[in-house]
Amino acid sequence: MINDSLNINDKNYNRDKMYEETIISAIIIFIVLRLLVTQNRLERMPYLNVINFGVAGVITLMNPSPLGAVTSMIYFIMATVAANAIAFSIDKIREIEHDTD
Amino acid sequence: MNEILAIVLGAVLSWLNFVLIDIWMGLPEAPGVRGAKAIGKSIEKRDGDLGGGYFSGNIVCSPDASAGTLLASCCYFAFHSPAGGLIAALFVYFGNRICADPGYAGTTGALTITILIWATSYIGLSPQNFIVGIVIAILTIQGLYHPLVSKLIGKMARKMNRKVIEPE
Repeated sequence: MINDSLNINDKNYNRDKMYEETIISAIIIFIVLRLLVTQNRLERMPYLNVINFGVAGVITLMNPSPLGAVTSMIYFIMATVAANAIAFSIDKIREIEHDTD
Repeated sequence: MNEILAIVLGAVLSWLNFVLIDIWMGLPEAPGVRGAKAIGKSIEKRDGDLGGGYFSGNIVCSPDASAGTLLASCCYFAFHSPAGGLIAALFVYFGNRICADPGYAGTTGALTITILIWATSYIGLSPQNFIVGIVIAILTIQGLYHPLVSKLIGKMARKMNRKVIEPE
């Protein structure tokens, strides 16, 4: 059975009520709406960080296997590296614009 | 245990775990990278606290105790054993090195949350509660209202004797 490898019958993994996925999805939708109305580019970075946390959590909750956990770890760490680079670029662009003013 | 109560308890434990370890490791003291400094200054400009701003910026720009908490809960859940927490600590350590972060906040956070999940599994908490708990906890820090939260973090940092160190 393919279900055995997903541990569907494990007592730690109860699929009857999906409270966890529902809460995380609601948080992600709330933050996406907030991102759409925020104008300040640096203020958006912490909001993006919340989305990264939520997506990494949902990846593991939906794929309860070692591969799912490794996927979410790679996703999260690489998203952090990307956020690091974006914040650096925004700072650099502001400095250049300030110099030319 | 009641599912909603377990999630609330998981959120409180994750919040305390990552905020206390991050402040103890000195995240509000100085920005680790240049992007973190820009985010901190931006929060200070919006009537926030500079220490709390650096705290937020450091969380965004490098995997620290909050990342350690999330990834250790994920791995504990997926591997069904505390060994998952150790694997997560290894990955967070690599992430710290990639981001040129000198601290060990992420590794410490991953190890302490592994001990916490193992201890609370005896009263009926499961790793899923901690996964959703850390997402709720990071929402309160990064997603609601930065000036107010940064003032709270700054106050906690001063109480734990971790003041902002001015570079110049």
